[in-house]
Amino acid sequence: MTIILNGKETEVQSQTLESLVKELGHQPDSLVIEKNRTIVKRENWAEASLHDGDRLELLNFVGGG
Amino acid sequence: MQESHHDPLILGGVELNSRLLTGTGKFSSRDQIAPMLESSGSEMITVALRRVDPHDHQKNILEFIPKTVHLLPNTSGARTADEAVRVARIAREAGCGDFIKIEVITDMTYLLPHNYETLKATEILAKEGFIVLPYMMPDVTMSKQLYDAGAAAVMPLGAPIGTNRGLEMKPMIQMMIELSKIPVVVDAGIGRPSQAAEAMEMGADAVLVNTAIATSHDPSLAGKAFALAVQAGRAAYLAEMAAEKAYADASSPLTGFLGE
Repeated sequence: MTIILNGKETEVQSQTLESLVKELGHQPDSLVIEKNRTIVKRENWAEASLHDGDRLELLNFVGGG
Repeated sequence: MQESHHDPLILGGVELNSRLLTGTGKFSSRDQIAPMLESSGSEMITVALRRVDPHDHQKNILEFIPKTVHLLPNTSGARTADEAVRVARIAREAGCGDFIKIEVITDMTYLLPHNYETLKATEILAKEGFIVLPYMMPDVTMSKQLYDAGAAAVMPLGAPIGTNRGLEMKPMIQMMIELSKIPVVVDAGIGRPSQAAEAMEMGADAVLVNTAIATSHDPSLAGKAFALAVQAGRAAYLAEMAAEKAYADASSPLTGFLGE
């Protein structure tokens, strides 16, 4: 399906946020996910299903002042 | 150096024993952060939130910060109050705690904060129980409005971010310190420990230093220098130094010297 991931149209195979994180090769511990402007807690990633056109922000903490 | 008496900084009910806040930006290696925190004794450090880089799977910044140090996520990147509010909620949801540094900037040349959007974000987030520390352009009226809106402190810039030019805004900051009912944290532009000491001597409650420490040749040593300067400046302020004089005033009597 096609989702909008960090502002870019992206083809993904995964059906849930949990598998998407694995598909993308990210460390779950470092990520924060906002799906369609709602924050999804890590414990709910396995149940959070993805749909065509979903807007996802995958975020992490970085250095800053 | 030991504190001679208990003089904690209180932000939103949280006691800090160091009046030096630090930041995690611009270190040449993130491994320098923990040693810098150790040598400086800083108890609160800023972090930012960004989209993950799909090609970068390295550890996130939080793993480089000891759990004993308070996190101060900032809303850097936000251009509006709504964007700042969104970042703050994400940071809290991610487990960063209730502190938030509001940073709303539309000026890409000097990175000067947008005071009006900052005020709007402060009003919303204070009502949601955040401990709000707004980064702002020094302004006595805005400072009062931020206090009324529920800010836990106000954070006026000394000079534009990353410029290392010190207290260019000194007279404005002095006025804010005199009139503010909440702590004043000088944030941005401090380039040398002497400038941090100067801010503390004036009565600032704390300073936030990122660039000057991170970009020094030895961040651990720079962190220690800043910590000592902040302690010296604070002690001087509490000791109430005497005023400047127009004329000389001898240290010993001008009479009674040995003679013929």
